[in-house]
Amino acid sequence: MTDRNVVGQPGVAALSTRAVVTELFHHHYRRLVSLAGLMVDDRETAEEVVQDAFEALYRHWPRLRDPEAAVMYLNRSVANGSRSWVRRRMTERAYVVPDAGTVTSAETVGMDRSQRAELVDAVRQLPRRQREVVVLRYFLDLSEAQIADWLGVSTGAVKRHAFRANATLQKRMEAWV
Amino acid sequence: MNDYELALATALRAEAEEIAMSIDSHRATDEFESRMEHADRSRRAVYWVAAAAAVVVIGVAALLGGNWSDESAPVMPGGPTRSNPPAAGTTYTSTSFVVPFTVTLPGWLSGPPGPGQNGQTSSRNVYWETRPCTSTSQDCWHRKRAVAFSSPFAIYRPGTAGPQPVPNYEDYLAFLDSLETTSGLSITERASTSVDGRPTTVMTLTASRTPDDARPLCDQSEGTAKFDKLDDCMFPEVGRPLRLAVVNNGTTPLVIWLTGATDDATDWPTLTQDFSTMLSSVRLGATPLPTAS
Repeated sequence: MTDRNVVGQPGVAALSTRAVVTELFHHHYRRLVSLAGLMVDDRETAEEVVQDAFEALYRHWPRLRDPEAAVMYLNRSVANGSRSWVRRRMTERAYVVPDAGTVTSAETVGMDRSQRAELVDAVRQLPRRQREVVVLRYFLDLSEAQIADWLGVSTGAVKRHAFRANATLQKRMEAWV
Repeated sequence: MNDYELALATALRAEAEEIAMSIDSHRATDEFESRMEHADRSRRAVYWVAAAAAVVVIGVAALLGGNWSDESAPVMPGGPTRSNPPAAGTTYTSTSFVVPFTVTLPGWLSGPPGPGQNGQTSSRNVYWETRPCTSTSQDCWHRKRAVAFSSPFAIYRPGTAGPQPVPNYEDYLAFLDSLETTSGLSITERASTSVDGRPTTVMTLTASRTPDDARPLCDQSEGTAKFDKLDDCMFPEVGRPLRLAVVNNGTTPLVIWLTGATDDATDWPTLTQDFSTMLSSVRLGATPLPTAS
């Protein structure tokens, strides 16, 4: 189901806020936890970040200027919360997290389970900025310009962080050969 | 996408899939239902409190004869008060900060300064924050307020590589002004005042973005190896205005700041008033700040 099926359909205004937000919760919770889980260190924290995002959406629903922006709001809240609510905030840009059902299996790209785990572990050990860039680039498929927009930095900075991250990760992968 | 990128994307998505598979949907749904219930109760409580307050106001007005402009009306003991005055604050005396100081904190802060997200008590930074909740969540972020005394040792100027020494009071103010045009910073509510006799400029900084090359305040010790050094320096957070007092203390400026969120239940004007009250209570020691390193 797309976002519009939930929020943008005719007659949605007749539904209660609770019903609409609950519907959004059922459709987006898992993949938002996945996104948060790649940016924080454990699933429990990821779930808490996503729960907070939905709670904030529910509390602020009457003030949401455009209800169709609810999913954008959630994405923003989750990414922002995942990034330790420190200094950055993404801009209003819609993005739907890729469906996990379309994932290529690790085996098809020549990785065994331990190598995959090692690579993910290496991503988690990257400096915060580099890790954010990697997750946004390779999990969400955002362009450098989009990442710069989300993180509030220049595209040059995104390139630098990506370059450093890739150097670290490629070195790790070369060790497998 | 080359082999490396494909492997990386695949690993991340497989990890995400594992995370998603490990979720207990029933428990998550129950928790969210509970949160919505709590939110509804809070909302109803606010409505009832507002209604009760309105009844009280109307009752008092009726007792006073309904003449709101009557200057002969009785004055409450203690003189005029704000609608939501802070509780009596805690007085704190520094122990290791480079400029000895004493301050009476706003009523919503109490206790000794403690480790915070961006700061700790050190010779360069004394930091307090409210702790409405303990998680690292968005909602906690929205409700957090903080106050700090800072003695910056470096700044990052846009277009220059690496940290720069902190300039003197006048040049530091000029540097802040320059960030309006270069770095998405907005400066409002500017005023000249004094803190314990020292010339001081107070202002509110609001950021529309976080630049990747400008920081007006570096007061933390060296960052850990995992973090870029510039990231250890401060820039106002988007969505969180920063009330800043720059105090001319002879050499490098002393910076005192307060932050809260504009969509906090408490309005920003009240917080800035609390900040002014706090500034008027500050007493500084005679020890001058060392020259910027």
